[in-house]
Amino acid sequence: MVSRICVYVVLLSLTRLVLAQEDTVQLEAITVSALQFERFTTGSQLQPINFDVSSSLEKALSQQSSIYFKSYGNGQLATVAFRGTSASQTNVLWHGIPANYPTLGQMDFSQWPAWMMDELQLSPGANSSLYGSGAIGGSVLVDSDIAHKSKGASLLVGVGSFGEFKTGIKATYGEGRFKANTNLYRSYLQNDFRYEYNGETLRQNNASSLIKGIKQQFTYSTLHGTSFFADFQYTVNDREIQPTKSAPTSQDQLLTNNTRLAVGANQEWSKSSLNVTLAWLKNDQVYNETDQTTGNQYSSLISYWYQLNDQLEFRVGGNTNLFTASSDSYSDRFHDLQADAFTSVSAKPLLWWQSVLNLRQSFYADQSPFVPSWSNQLTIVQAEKIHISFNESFAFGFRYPTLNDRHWTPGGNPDLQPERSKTLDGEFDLKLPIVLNGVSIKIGGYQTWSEDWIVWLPSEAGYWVPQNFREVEISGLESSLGINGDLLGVYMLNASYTFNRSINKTGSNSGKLLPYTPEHNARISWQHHIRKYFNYRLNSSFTGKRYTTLDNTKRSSVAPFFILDFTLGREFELPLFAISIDASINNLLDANYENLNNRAMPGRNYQLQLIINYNR
Amino acid sequence: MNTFFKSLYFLAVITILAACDGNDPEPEVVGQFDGGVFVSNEGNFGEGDGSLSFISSEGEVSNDLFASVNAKDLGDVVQSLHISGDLLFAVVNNSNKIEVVSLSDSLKSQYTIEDVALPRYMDSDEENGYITEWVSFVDAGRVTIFDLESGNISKSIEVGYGAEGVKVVGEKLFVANNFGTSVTLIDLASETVTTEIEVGTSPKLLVVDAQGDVWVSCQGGYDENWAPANDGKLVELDAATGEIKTTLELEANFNGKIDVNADGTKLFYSVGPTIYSMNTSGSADAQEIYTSTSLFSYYGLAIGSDDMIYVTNAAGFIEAGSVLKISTEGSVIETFNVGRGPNDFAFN
Repeated sequence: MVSRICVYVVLLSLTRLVLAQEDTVQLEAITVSALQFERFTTGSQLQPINFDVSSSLEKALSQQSSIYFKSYGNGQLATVAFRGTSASQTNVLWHGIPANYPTLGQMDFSQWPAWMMDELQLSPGANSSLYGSGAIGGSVLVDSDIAHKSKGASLLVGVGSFGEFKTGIKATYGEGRFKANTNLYRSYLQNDFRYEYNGETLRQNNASSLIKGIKQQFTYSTLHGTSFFADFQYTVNDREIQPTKSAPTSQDQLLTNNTRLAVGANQEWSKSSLNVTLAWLKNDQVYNETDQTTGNQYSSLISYWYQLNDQLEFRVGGNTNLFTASSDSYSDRFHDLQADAFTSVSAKPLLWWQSVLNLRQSFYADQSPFVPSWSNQLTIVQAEKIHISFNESFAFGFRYPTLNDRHWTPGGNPDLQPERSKTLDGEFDLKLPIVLNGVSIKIGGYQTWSEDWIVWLPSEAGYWVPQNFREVEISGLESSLGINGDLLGVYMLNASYTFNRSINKTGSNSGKLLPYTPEHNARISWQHHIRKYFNYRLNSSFTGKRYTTLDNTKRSSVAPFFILDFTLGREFELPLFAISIDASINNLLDANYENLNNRAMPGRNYQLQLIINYNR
Repeated sequence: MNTFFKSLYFLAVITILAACDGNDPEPEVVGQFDGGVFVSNEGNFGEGDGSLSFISSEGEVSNDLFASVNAKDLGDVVQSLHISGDLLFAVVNNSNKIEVVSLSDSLKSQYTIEDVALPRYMDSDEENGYITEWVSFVDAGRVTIFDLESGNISKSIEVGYGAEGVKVVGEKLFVANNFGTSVTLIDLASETVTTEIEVGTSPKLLVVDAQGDVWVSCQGGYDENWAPANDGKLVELDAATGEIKTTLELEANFNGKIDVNADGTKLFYSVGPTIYSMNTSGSADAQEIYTSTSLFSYYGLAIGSDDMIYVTNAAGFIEAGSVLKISTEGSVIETFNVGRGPNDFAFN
């Protein structure tokens, strides 16, 4: 406790120190496409995430207090769960196509390097009517549009503690209406960090991770508003599976190949557009060089947008996902087809009122969930000095069983129904645009009622079988503060705090918190650019106590932790090149913490990286 | 700037307050273990939260004993327990070790055996301990022999796949090969394998009855669609020759947990939620003792020296489990809350 108080004192002292200097550097703004979703959301339902392409995605997402980033170790399996739900209740879309690994129903974000991502948006809260199956806790949108990207090239070289070495190169090039982007990435982490266990200092001996990736994108635009794109990615992750502290001799490993291909065409008219995307996603995992599981997904997405006038716009469309998989643990090959039809209406009946209705009818095997969502943004004050709005939404969510849930042998249960949820959200949004360079405060609350959570339970047959079992109610409060100012240079302060209670309503532990759903999450980040080329960043996060079992006893819990990262950056502008050098100290306070029970995390560690940008 | 700092302090204070939490009391250590029963709690695979509980003869439960005495975790998947003299052995499967503690010295750690691979069960004679090990899911299992006093390993003997239950009977060692269909017999004088006896699908545990015969439980198998083959059985072996004397077909699959009462005249097992007993000689007809209305099946089963039946409810490993004490007449005497995934017992 004392150490935690000290941290904040240090943080605040540093803040004061910084504010005594002056200069201005404009922070880079990120561009966001995925208009088909943006047009039919209100308020902060869709939040662009500013992330450091040279760093890990974990670092970027761990700054969001509505997310619990569940990491099985340094560079190990990493999933995200929104608002006290589970990681499988997070939908991940890539170019609008579902991208969770279909066998597991989750995304391992540690296997998707940030260097290979261009745009990242988060949408906390249920909204399956807009995003489809899985959007019970929230959605992560990964997107890329190089049509508006300026030509240039970047080189990344980074080194870090525990034998980390990474290199990346990417270039955007083309002539006339043709543009292309090539991206290569490689990182290796020996990961032989030391950790304390049972009073001894041990060294991690089975946690190395090698990631290699290539990405190639093309776009071609005609004079008549037609454009075509192709995005191909291939990544390999060869990883030793970090054992628990109590089984340090375990030597398991996992080799994962991910192939993603999306091709699309887009026709823009003055007040309408038609978009068609086809995609193939393959996830191949080999465990201990013997057990292989391969999931293939073939998807199509078509959507048509039409703007009647400034007050009314529509969207209609559909998508299909065909899944096949082969595994030693599946007795048969199968073809599972999902198909959805959706429509959306956004109306601005009054200057201060925007209302959005989304509807989706989905089909999978004998299941056919229909989900609506209705959200409203009410502008209460819209003045030069102050904007106040209230956002409200009521949304339904559903999640289909995964391929493992349906087909795993033994136990797979083809009769499972989708998980279902209803969520009511409300949020006040206050913006003070001319206080400093802008101040934003958001305070909101949500309540989710969900049922039919799929849980694997022991069966009479002697093995475990997934069943629609659990009912869960989740309530929470979210608050955030953003301050942009200019003192010796631009600074940005972001602070957020989330209080969340995910309550089990089934069985003998009704009324208790679900495992791994922290009640308290707080984040504070500070970025400051001093003079023209010098910057530093402080990111801190507090994650509250998590229980590991449903009975919520102290002996089955993981202690709260506080992590502080510090980065110092220097930029150089040359005639054709921009060079940036970042030095980071992660876990500055050397906290001995666990994200998951008995999974060691590294103490204080260091990273140094160089990025050279060539701008023609 | 005042507002700015106030906001920052506000958030900091909220966070710090949020971190303050009530503390649950530490588990109490019981110094006297006579007449009580130790319970191994597997913990959830991969979480390393296996633990040791003790239920005293007065019914008082102490949880997390190993960790609170020795200031270290017991490990991942505490599979089984064994008592020999003053020593209690905890076989920790996924941590690849055996933790050994002293009963007369408040369960203080005596030594740890670490050169084992996926250990499962153990038995002992006066000098040696015998540990079964799966080794891996693709290699043949083995029995490792070690000196009880020092913990030094002297020899490992390869047996069948999935070496599981183990029993010392005179100068012989019986080992159940759980991934196969046989029991391996080892001659302890020469420390070599002498015979392999075909008994049935998935042999699990071994007990010795009043006549000195060895009973082996066979859990039963599955067909190609993973439908239970319902061929679980109890097989009586002649301890001297290893020959099969009688077989009781259960016409169901079961968890293979068996035990005999203090004088070895009755054998107990459970199929699904029902506990049965049968006479170990004469008529082998099974007698129904008790059926749970809330459980699919029990996870562990053993008979105390008080001839009480102890079964465990693993509660799906999503919460702490419990031990039910049931009389041989079928009355539930008491329920004890123990650790996560209670599995095996050792009676002191």
